[in-house]
Amino acid sequence: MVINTSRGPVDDRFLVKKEGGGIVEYYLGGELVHRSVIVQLTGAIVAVAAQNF
Amino acid sequence: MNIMTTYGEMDRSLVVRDRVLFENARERTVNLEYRLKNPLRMMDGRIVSSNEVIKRSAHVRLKEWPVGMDMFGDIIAASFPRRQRGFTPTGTHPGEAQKRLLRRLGHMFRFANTQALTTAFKVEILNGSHAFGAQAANAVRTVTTKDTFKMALYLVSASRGAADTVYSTTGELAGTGNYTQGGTAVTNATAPTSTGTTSFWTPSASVSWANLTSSGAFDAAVLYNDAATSKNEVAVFTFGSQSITAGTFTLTMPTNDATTGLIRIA
Repeated sequence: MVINTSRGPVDDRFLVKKEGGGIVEYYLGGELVHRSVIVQLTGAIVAVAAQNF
Repeated sequence: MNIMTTYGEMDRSLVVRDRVLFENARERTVNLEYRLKNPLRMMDGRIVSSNEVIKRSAHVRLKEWPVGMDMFGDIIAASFPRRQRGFTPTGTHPGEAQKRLLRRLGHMFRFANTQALTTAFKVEILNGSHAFGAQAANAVRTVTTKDTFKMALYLVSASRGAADTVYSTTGELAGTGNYTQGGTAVTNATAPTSTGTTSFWTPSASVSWANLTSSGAFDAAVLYNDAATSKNEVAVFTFGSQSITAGTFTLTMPTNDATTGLIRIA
């Protein structure tokens, strides 16, 4: 499989892959050449208060 | 002369130094990056590439007070004799007393992004300024189409938060490395709805940036109304600091319900 890297497309047979916690990294000769991340967003809330009469 | 690197002390003659400038309305930062002139085999057999940054130092000059600190700056400056002032980020070098105060205040105030629905958005809800879903025409409103929304990414050095009112490029990732300032469109195929007494809305798909190399570490995404003339800001969402190299950055959305939906009114 070909991976996009900072050195251009490289066959993953030449790369060392590290993966975990939503992060995928590929190294070429010890150099980080690709880093992808998946992050889960958390929501925000508007708390509404209605005034009593 | 030796310099300290990630591989221990090295002779200065083995490395080259690059000067990388980052400047926006709030700061002027010069990064000095050191790389090897030639690849080097270490004692343990590893080869250190000449592309690898083995030392980086940063020189940051603040152009304005961090949010919330400006009023303290005025008070503190007034407490010093006039000739000792210059107690501003762009002023002259502070004296020893000012330096001590700055060090103490530095623990209290920092540039940081803060997750929040903007206060302006809360007002705009009442004004009917945003349409997250299409709605039937009625006697008052004739807009029956939903607005388009975007998400943009912000550096850890930015100060996005509840006080924001509109989208801004200040603190946004630079338009390099396949990132386009303004961010990317949010997929919105699911109209707002409610469960019990809570209404909620969540984008119907993840937001992602492919083949991205970020211009710096970032930790916030801003959601804003791209259909609005002023690009009114809706919310700031924060996450752990990230840095992407020729990769894909994906923001996945929470479950769209009354407990976890991305935007909820309860």
